[in-house]
Amino acid sequence: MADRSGENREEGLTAEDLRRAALRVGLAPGDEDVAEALSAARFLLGAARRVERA
Amino acid sequence: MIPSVAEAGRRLRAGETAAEELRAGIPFLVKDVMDMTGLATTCGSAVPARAASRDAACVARLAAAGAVPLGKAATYEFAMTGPAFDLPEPPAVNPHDASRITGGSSSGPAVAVAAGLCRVALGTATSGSVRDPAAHAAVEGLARAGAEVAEVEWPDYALLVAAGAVVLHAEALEAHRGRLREHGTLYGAGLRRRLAASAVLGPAHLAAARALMPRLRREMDAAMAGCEAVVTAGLLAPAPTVEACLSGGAAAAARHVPFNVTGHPALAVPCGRVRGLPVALQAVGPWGAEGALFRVGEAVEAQGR
Repeated sequence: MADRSGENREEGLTAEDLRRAALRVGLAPGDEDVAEALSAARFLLGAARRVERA
Repeated sequence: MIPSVAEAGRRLRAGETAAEELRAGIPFLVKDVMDMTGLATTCGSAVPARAASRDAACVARLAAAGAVPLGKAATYEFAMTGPAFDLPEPPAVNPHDASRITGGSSSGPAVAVAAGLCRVALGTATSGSVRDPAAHAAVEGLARAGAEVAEVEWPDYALLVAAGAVVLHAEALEAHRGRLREHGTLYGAGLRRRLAASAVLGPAHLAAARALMPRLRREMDAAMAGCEAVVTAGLLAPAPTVEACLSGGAAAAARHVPFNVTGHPALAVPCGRVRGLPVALQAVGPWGAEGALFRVGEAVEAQGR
């Protein structure tokens, strides 16, 4: 991912939130997948919030 | 990707050749996310792919002009995530230092040109896909257009990055949704995790980011008003090692995303070496200013000779 600026991160997102979201799109992520993806997911959700505020 | 902008320009100005003739007989490779008739477009993935029934428009136009398609070149999986070693083919190798990444995702096309396997290769830019590997391999990489040096104040960088990330990941998730349900386990771990992260985004997020685009384009236009082109850092550091990338220790070192978001043309221009490895600047410009960008590239190349 190009830039995970701390300014954009959504720290409130939990691993369980991410697991449920992934299941909804047909993925069944294991614990390692969730742990690895959580940082990117927090960045993306924070980015989406920033876009909404703009 | 063109080995030497200066040489192509010199030949054209000297009347030694017409633009069409430059393409005649030139062999080219195609990043394996574009269709070539009869070949499967694998996108660098184990996910099953059917043979294409026709050429992609860019392939067909080059072939019609006389260029000769040689075949496919490597890509990061679905032009999104790499390098990875859990896919059908290994990543392309950086010809300057095999322990370092090529940049991505147009890794195969850039390496093929840099290594002299062909004169031209077609790539695509998901975020910095043409400009990253082009810089790493010290060849010219064209993403779209622009040309001259100035000092300007960019619009809100964090907002541009945020909007770009939302559009890229939400669109990717939509594109892969059907395949994920059927073939999710065939994806490489890197892309599978990236798509899992993307699952926190919904249609409303994508709509909001798309709605923001016209404003961001206007702000970028305003920042470049009065400039024929603007030169920025392209790569802030040489290519990281493959090992650092796989362990998550490689920081993002490119500054391409804002121009992907706004659609402004951008050209990567190799501008020297750091610790023996190529680095690049980036020339960007108003829409339709490709000629100016190539003049910038030519000027930088001339300084390096």
